[in-house]
Amino acid sequence: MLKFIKGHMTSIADIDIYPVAAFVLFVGIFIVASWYILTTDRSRISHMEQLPLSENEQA
Amino acid sequence: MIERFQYDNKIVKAFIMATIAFGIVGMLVGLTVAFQLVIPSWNFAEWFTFGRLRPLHTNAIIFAFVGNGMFAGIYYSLQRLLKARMFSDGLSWLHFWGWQLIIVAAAITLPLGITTSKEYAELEWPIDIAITLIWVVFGVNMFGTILKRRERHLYVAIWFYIATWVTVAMLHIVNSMAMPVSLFKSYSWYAGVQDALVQWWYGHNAVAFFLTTPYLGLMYYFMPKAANRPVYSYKLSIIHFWALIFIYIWAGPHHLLYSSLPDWAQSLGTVFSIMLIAPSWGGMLNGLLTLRGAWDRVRDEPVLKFMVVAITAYGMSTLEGPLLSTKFLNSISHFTDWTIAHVHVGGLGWNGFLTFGMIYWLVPRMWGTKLYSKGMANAHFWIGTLGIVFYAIPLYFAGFTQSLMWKQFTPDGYLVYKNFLDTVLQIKYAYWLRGLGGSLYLIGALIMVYNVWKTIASGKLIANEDAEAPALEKNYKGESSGYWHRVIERRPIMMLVVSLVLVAIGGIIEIVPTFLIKSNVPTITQVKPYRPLELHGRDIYIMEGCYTCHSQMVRPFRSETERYGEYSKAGEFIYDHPFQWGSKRTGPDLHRQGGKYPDSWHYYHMFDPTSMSAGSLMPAYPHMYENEIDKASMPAKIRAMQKLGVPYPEGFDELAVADLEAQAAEVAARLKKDGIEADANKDIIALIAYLQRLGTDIKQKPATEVVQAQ
Repeated sequence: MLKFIKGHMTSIADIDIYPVAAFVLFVGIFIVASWYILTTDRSRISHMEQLPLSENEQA
Repeated sequence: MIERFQYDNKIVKAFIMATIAFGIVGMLVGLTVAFQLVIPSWNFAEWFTFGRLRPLHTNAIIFAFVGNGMFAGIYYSLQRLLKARMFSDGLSWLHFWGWQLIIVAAAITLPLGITTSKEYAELEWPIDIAITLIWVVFGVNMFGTILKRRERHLYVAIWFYIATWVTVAMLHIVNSMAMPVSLFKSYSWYAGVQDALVQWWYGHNAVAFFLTTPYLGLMYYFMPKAANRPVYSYKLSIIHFWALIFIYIWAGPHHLLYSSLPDWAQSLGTVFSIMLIAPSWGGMLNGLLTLRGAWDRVRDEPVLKFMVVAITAYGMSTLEGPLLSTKFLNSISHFTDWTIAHVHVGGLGWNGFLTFGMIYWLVPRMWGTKLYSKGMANAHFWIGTLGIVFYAIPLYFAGFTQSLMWKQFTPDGYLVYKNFLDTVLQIKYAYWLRGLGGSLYLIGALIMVYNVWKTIASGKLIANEDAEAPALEKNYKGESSGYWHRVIERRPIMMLVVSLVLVAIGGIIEIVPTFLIKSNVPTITQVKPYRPLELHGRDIYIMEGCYTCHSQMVRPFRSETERYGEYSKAGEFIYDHPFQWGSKRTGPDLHRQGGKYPDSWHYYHMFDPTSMSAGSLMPAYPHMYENEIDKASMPAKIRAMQKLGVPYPEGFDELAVADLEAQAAEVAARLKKDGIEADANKDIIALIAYLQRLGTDIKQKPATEVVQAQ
């Protein structure tokens, strides 16, 4: 009976690409996002975080 | 040059009113179904049974209450964050009325049994098309506003709105694909395992992108507003955003652990669910820590109280969710009331309380007055919080108790509780307490209605709020050293595309393999398409919402194979458009129901369940004994199934009615043997035929083996 639930993936050609692609994308997203927040300057962040509070002031 | 313009508050008002009205209705329906579980006589009419009202409750809360709440918050915050009025008043109102019409259509069709049976996507295809159109209207209006904005940079809340829009569009379209049979009936494009995977990819991400991301956007706007200080860490919010939208989309298969879904997909769902704890808790802490140095204000500001509990509930349910995604806990929690408790911590706590906090904050400001009674708002807060506690805790006990009872064996290796009903009656007390919790929560909401009404009466709506801001430079070149992310922050369309790519990747990797490779779902030669009478019986099963209480998925546990029989195989569902695996067992699993009891048992049982199982909480279905089998639509149904790839012989649509009548006569004859004079033209006959077919195919000897035996 195990044949019904085992080996679903073996028939797919180049199946290796799926986990590799997933891993690369996943790590990539985090490296890029981290790189951005580590390199961005303080004044921009403070401008961004004030946006909800400064709506009635003149920019 | 300073430009003068006005914010549109009238549309925000309309959405707030709809939020409150449909919130009360949705909660009332919820309370009704909660009590129907313990007082079966409350299922007093064909259109008023649990199976039909429960989808109405979930749809009303998700799309009418939370949906309108989301739109109210977005229409308010978007204009202010972008320093621009909404793109088009016409589109705003088209969006508003279109959405309300869809809700009304849902409120009419679901009690009538017009449903696709795919959870939180039950609405039939014409309404699905309307949802798509109105969603596009919303999107055009939102992006139009973004394009004519006077603030160059998009605040993080807006990113969440954009991700919400694009992902919900994708989920809705992919999951709603169906083959129409008539105006009110369609069959899912997908079958069995594929349908289940698509459905829970949708179902999970509807929670993610309809109940979570837009509300996180609202949190990132209204929490700083209410606390009067910027968000704790804007950098953290950036990580929160990208991590959340990228990881969430993968986690859907955790709804199908131990099911017939291929193992790799189950594991993928679990891994990504665990990873979700990180961004979710990052977001929760970011929200809570926004109150740094202002915690004393929580004491006397009900808005902050609601928001603190909402964000805490978000943290609780996003920790619980990943834990429930582990195979160990899932084997206990799945199909029990634990799931119901879990979603209500999110629904009542996170969505409900954030909505209430937002309403208490918005209404006095929009009407240029003060909140009528802070005391009442505090009372609402405490009654509502107690309501959540009384709702969730008994159901946690119920879930644990029932699951352990299902799995308990005697020393000799037999089930201790052979009768499923024993395990239900054991937790009836929890259902009562849950009803009490729900009642408290509703009372709290009614106090809010009065408070809001009095507040509005004491003020006057500032329908168009004056504002001014400098126009954006037309030929802005950007900083010479611009980072890619700053470019995205300025370019909403690029943001949309990047978000779509990210969420599409997860969806594609999850779904494509099972689609492209036919052998991914091993076919079982004995599994044959349903006969027309059975197909009609299946449509009744769908119409009555039987899946809301009965699963059709025997998991590979000894406690389940002992109780129900052979565990379910992926190949058994290949003709199931749509799948009927279910997600909750208030009654026993039905996948191996076929042949378990005689036809007469079902005949008596459906008319009055207590006649066959004393103390049963199942509704009675007397209308099935009166409603005639709809033979006229049968050829069209067969043709629709053929188009979906179900191998009925060519021309079978013309023979379908004759086959239906022949099988109905067989059922009636069997009933007659047991002394029942049944009319072979009634719906009950078809339902019995379907129930007796369930899960029996693999018990037939395959033709090849028969040949070998000779």
